[in-house]
Amino acid sequence: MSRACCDVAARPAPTAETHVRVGFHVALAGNPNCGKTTLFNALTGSHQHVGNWPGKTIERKEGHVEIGGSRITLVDLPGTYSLSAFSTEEIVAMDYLLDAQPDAVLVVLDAGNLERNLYLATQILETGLPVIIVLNMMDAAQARGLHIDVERLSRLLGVPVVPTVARSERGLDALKAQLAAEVMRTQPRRPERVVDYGREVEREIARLAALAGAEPSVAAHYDPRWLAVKLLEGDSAVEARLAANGGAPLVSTAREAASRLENMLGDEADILITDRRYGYINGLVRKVVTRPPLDRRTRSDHIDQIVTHPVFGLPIFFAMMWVVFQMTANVSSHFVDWIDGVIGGPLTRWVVAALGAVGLGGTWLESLLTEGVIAGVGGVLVFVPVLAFTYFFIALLEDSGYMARAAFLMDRFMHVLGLHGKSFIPMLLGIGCSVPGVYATRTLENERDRLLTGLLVPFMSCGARLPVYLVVGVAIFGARAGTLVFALYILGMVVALLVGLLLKHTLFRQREEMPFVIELPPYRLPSFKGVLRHTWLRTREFIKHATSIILIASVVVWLLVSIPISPAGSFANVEAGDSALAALSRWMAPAFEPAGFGSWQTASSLVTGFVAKEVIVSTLSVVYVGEAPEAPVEPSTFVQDVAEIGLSFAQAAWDTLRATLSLLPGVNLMDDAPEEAPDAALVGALRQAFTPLSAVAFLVFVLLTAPCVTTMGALRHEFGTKWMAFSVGFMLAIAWTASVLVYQGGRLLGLG
Amino acid sequence: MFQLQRHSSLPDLEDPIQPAGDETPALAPCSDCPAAAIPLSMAPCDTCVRLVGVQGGRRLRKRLAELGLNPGCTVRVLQSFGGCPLILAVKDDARMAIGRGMAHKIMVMEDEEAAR
Repeated sequence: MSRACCDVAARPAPTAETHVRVGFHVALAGNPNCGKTTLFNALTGSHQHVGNWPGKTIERKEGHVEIGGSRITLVDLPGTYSLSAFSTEEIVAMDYLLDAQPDAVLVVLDAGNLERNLYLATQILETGLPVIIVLNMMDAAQARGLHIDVERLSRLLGVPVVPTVARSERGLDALKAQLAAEVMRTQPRRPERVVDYGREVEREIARLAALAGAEPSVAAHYDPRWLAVKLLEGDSAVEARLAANGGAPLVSTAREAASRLENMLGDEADILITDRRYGYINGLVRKVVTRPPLDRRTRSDHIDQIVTHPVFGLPIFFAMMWVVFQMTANVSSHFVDWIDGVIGGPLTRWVVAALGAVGLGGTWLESLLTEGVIAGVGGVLVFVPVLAFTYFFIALLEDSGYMARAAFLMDRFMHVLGLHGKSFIPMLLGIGCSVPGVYATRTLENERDRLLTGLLVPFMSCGARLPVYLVVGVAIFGARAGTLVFALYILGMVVALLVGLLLKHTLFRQREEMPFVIELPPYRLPSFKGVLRHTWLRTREFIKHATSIILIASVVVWLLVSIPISPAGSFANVEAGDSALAALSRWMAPAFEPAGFGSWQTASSLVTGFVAKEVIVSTLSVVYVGEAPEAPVEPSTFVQDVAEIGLSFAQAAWDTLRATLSLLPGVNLMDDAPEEAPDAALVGALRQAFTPLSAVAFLVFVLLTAPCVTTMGALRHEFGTKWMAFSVGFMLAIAWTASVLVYQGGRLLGLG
Repeated sequence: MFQLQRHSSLPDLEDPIQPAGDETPALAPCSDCPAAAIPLSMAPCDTCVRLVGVQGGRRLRKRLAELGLNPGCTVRVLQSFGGCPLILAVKDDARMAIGRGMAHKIMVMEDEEAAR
């Protein structure tokens, strides 16, 4: 079949001197937690591209490695336990193996968990693709006293077997040598028959394989024996493929054969096949693995007696989560402030100076660059520290093995929402910022859980909404604002709960019950290099994907503010009330009349709030009070600016360190910064604009309305444009309904 | 090899729980299963058991088998607190947490051979 469908990166054209194969494709397959991604990273370094499988929210990683002058493309398939049509991940993996026909498949196995891992390996061997078995995490297996006879395993399976430790990059040279041999190989290599399914089943397999082999359209694409096994198992994805390929008669013949076997042997054919496969694997493992006299409980098991304990495990869990939350939401803020300062200070000054030098100072171009483009780029960059911290801690939790335990502990509670235990972490991070929350959904293995969690994360009240609550709340309610803010946070969680229940029973209703199983991998010390690499690659992906959407939004808002609609102003030099933004807001405002805040000023703050929620405050200030007079900028030299950037970075790093240490109980190295008093003019204006009831309705709207544009970018990146649009529309509808309910309900109760 | 057990006499998962008054509800409802079979959820902590059958639809049984819980396999219960998921050692090396509801549908027998 053609590879064109798989959006493979451009391959180097063959040249006269080289006779090695170009465009050699290798797929990596394996169970979850077998170290497959670590191996992929170790082989490709940073030469990789992360995207999604077409039409799926499943991550697709592709990278390349140069071995002996030839460029090998590696594709990391989703981690699966088998190649049946049970989950989207398995279908994606199987489709790739069948349609792209990779030149080789690296089947990565956890050497310390061989029996379960070999199930997938035997399935892939049966497809007839050239397989290289990678026995990964050999160190952990050896530490537990397991001895694996690698040569014998290779002989029995009929394929090369390479032992590795991907985390410390051991065995990679041998693996590369094996890949190089694979590139040079001219004869097609077909693994021999592996599993013997017993006389009766084998007879049916032989009959079906002969039929499949006689059908040219079928035989051209699939290994006949593999196809026969899959059809006897009744694999729905394979049946659908054949039906589309003119193989429908074969499917019905296979069904007859399956029911014949069922009558004869007293069990369904697919259960029989699974059972025989395990029988074969069990025999194989006995031959190649020598175990020490059983030490029944491993070190991990001893740790788990406390860590996964239903009572003692919870304080450990909450302490861990508190640290992660503090680090991502608060400690990272020092670097956020530093980036903000550099962009708003030196960088803007340089652009203004450069424009002045070419005679464009004070023009609309200066305004576009400083207020539109630089502000937009800044809007992306300020998220970088937050996300880097998030990815760092998530990688740490995953690589150490704790993430699976956290999921185990939280599952009791998250189950109510129809969510997986792992959904807790994205939701928690959402309280700091929705963007890392949305990206953290990647840790969930199942597509449905990922999407459902991603849709609920923006309901968690993020840190950027807090200034809005505080400014409006303090202006209207004074000291009682604290209670209001607390109530808003709770409201966000309650709405997430209700929406979760609603979606669980409607759009995300599961057709059938599938077992809830979490694998608990052994605890490991994370490798610092691996964690940092993960952090860097992920953060880089965010910058690549988020920049365009944020930049566009930022420029659009700049245009709205800059275009005059009355002759009083000129382009990029208009009073707030005469801008296109005001016109748009006046047009929108009546929609908010039933919620009690139908003025164009509040509507305009909601429009700009799309860029970032905290902008609502500054817009309210501009439209009610007017532009604050700009502080006179003291001229500074380039050297002074560079020195300032360097110094403030050192200060930010120092503050981060102090804030991190202050997380320890009893340590407080931070001097509490005095709260900035809100502008008296703004307070007065807000008191005139809002009644207490309409202020509450407004804040409820701010809490529940569509997420900011960066979150939208994250949603689009993870789930595609369709689901992003769904999330935005859905949240707008909920926000409007809830704020109208609050206002009208309050009026009925006589509170207005 | 081990003998396979079937549960053809059992209602499917989706069926409502059988009305009270049946000879032995919940515990050993399968005529094919040995009388000593109990649900995995009732197996005490630190015991070795052999899986003899799963009360459920064909896809569920297939899925559990693919995850390593196939009929005949030996399972060690590492943790089992009421109301919480169980932690199992499957095929010696794999550690798996499984929901209590699911564990209720998995029928097991005490395994003297493996326990030794």
